[in-house]
Amino acid sequence: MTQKLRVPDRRQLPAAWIELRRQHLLDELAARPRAERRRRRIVVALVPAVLVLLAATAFTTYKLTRNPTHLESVGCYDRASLSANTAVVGADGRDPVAICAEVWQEGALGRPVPKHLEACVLQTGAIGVFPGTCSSLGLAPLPASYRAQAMRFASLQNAIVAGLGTLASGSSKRGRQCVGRTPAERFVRRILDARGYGDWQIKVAGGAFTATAPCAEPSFDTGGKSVYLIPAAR
Amino acid sequence: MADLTDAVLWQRAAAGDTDAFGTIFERHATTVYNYCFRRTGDWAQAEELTAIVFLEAWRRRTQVVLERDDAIPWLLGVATNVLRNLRRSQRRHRAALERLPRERVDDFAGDVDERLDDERRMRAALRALEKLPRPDQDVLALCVWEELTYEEASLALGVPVGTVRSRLSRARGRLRELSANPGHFATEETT
Repeated sequence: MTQKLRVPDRRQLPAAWIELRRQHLLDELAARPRAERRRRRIVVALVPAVLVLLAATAFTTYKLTRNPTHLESVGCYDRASLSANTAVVGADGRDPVAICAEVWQEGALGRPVPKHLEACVLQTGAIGVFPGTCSSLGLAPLPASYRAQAMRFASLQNAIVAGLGTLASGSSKRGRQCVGRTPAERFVRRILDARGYGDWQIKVAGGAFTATAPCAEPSFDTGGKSVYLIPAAR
Repeated sequence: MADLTDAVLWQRAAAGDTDAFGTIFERHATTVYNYCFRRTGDWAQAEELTAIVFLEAWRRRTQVVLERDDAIPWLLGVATNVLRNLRRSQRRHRAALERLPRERVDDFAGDVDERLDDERRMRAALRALEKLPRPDQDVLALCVWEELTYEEASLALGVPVGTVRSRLSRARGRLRELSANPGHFATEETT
């Protein structure tokens, strides 16, 4: 005999819905290889020249001047490879190495916990923490200026989250606030302007605000200089 | 294409055949959609999550060779990961989600009350489920609600079969303790 939580019966998806979404999926997938091929062609054409021209001094200069552009998260890699498994965790203003060390300690990236972790700036401008050195991966190390940048951004995040409630997470648990779209937009704009992020945009993502999803939950994209408001249930 | 097995379709998809992947979507979208609903208690969110799960599955298609002729365990494993890292998944596929067709399909319109009732009941169940550790919730949702075998749940979660067994046993024990408090949450006995 099995005791279980009572859950509603399954629902069938209408055939028209499936067809609509299948077509959307195929359209999205069709666009991806083109983008991948385009990137590959550019890489194939440029890499040899770049290798010749930038082999020494230029590459060193690049490494020294690379700044991260995505501050809201940190990728913790389980080995010294760009294709390694990655746990992406939220940044909170602390040293990314400390953040990933915690992820390793929790066992999320396997065992044993590496003795040395290094924070690097990926080509995308995101931050990756590897059990190895940035130079062995051809990446720039995280510059010292990151700390001030990260703390400033964390302070912005905290102010917005405090005003709107929890960060968008998909969890049914929420903070006590339920701020609707318009007041949320006004609030976020005010915070952005007051803290020197006047060129950032506010966008809505993840569906429409409705009676069942009236509360704005914030999500941040430093690369795109945007705060996303995601509709969520009360 | 419809008569091909999941394993063959997956092999083709891994080689870049989007139509094969479209057939996998047709075949399994309903299961993924219901699973996402049962983990969130929100039909609208389940629609978006279903799209994310298949975009994510496509992204990772070359990393997997289907060991058995059913893509469901693996797709539900992807769904479990998406639910666990929702913000990252939404960010990664934001552009695609913004292009999701929003037209209402007529067949959905007739049962608004029933769907709201589903959401109310599902959230009550999820409130009880949240009292369990997350790994135990995953196993219970897969083995009990989705009726995967231990082996299938093991494939979905990437953990040994023994771990699935022990987590399920622990989850059931904890639920029994909780259900000893009448009115704490809705349970039912099944054979």
